[in-house]
Amino acid sequence: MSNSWHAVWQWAIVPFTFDFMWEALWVGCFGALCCAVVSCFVVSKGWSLVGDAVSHAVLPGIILAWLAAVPLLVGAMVSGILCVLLAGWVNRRSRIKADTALGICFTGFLALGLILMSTVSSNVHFSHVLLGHLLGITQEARLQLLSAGGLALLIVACRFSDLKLFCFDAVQARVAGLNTTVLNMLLLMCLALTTIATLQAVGLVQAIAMLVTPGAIGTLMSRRFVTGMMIGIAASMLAVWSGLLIAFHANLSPGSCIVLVQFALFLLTLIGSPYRGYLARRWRGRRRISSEEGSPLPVRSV
Amino acid sequence: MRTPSLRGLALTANNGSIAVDIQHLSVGYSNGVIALDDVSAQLPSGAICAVLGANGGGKSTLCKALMGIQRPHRGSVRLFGGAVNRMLKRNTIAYVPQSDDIDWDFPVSVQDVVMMGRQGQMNWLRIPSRDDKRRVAQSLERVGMQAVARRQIGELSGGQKKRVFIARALAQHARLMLLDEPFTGVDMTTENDLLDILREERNAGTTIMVVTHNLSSVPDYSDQVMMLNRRVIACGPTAHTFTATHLGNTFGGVVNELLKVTGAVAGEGNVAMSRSQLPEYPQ
Repeated sequence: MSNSWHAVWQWAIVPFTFDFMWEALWVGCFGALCCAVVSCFVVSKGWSLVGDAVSHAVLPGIILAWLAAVPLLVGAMVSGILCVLLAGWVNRRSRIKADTALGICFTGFLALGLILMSTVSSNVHFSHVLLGHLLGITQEARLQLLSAGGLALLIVACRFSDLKLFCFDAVQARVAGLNTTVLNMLLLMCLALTTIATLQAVGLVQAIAMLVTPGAIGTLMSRRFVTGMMIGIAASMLAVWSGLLIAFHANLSPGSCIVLVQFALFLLTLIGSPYRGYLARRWRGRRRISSEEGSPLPVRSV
Repeated sequence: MRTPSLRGLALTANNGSIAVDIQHLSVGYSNGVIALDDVSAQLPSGAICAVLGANGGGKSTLCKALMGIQRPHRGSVRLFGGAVNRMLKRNTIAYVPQSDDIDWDFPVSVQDVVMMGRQGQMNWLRIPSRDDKRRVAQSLERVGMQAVARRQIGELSGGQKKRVFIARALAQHARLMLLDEPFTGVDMTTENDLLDILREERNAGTTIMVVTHNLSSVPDYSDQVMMLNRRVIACGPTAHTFTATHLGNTFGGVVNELLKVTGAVAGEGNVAMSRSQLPEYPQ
């Protein structure tokens, strides 16, 4: 018994006694926390594609900001929001539908970023920006991601209730006298900021996974917004921890392992969630049918 | 936030004054559809006004223009004498949306939804005060939904859902209440309860606009009728306006045919219709 405990301890805890692993764990968990918080708003507003667009469109902004020696998060916010505004303008001024406009704009921004990346020679590995680089975090990168994630958390903390109303019912937000233009901007800013916060962990290409999956898991697991958010955060951090371990033991890319574990967690909730899971629905459906058979009155379906 | 005494003051000041003033309003969409064409109408405050029109007649567009969501090409809307955007900041409109416009899977409870009516009047961090909680509880009680206050909204029946959103509008305590198709998918008991509540609100001085394509019981509850078919067909007190001619012009041939079938006298166009004469407008 004590032997197997020892094996688990060796496999799951001891790797984090290495400095680089411990650093990767807390940086990854911080990024996961920020993304999971914002993710609940994104998923409930139906903004997954907007999230995808922003997370990809930050690339040219990051590189230009680096060239101009401006904080990366400023460049990321400007270029991410510019992309969404451009798509919105195209959508309003033409017969192009919103998702098509977004698709065109963000791939345009991404391509521009990739060209900038290949022409600008620098000592910064921009490939780390694309795929993440959790096992070699520099002091500067740590500062960037902490400030970006901290700002996103601050925005959500101050405007939590308004953002939730904006996601649930934007018309009511407007009628209640809230400034929906500002709320729209704040949510877009949060998307850009959390992309920066998770850049080290999973990279730009996979950032959308961190921005969508925790919210989806939370929605499946709970009928309360805050509870769902807590569950999303927990699932996201669990994914970082176990993804890192798998990457460490099997010598794989940590970013992809984290995303893959998160995907697996999502599938598990989809099947096994006690509230909206597949199995629970099957079980409830069977029970409802049997109770209807026993009832003398026709049951009105809702 | 307005206190009851201020509200009473506003009531006496507004009695007989104009709540909604629409002047030459034209609204078009980017795909070339003109939804409203030179609409002018005035609705008195403290009355229940039914806005009638067929699908595509511009009712929803009028709602959007009243809430400043759709910007007009020409013309203007004034609420209680002020521009829309300024009046929205002063908690002028409470809106009850169509059931189709709500995400029923959203993880919020009934109580949370009703609290959203108070949102614009809370402090900066949106922490509900004792007064907010009291108003939410009162509104839930008025619509008879306090027993399900902690349920998730998707777990309610059609009538209950409608009651919850009426409660939200009541909690907001605005001067103008705008209801979009409130009687669609609702049983008779709920419809009667809602009408009672609307009458109570009207008697307390609230102006109420009911946007609907469902003609039954319109003469029972409305003081004013406005008929829309891209343009204003008719607007005025129900007794003079709710006539077969106007209905025919608003809804096209369908109503004329139905009137013949139900035996109503479509020829006597200037006589106001009673409820028993009314056909059910096909949905």
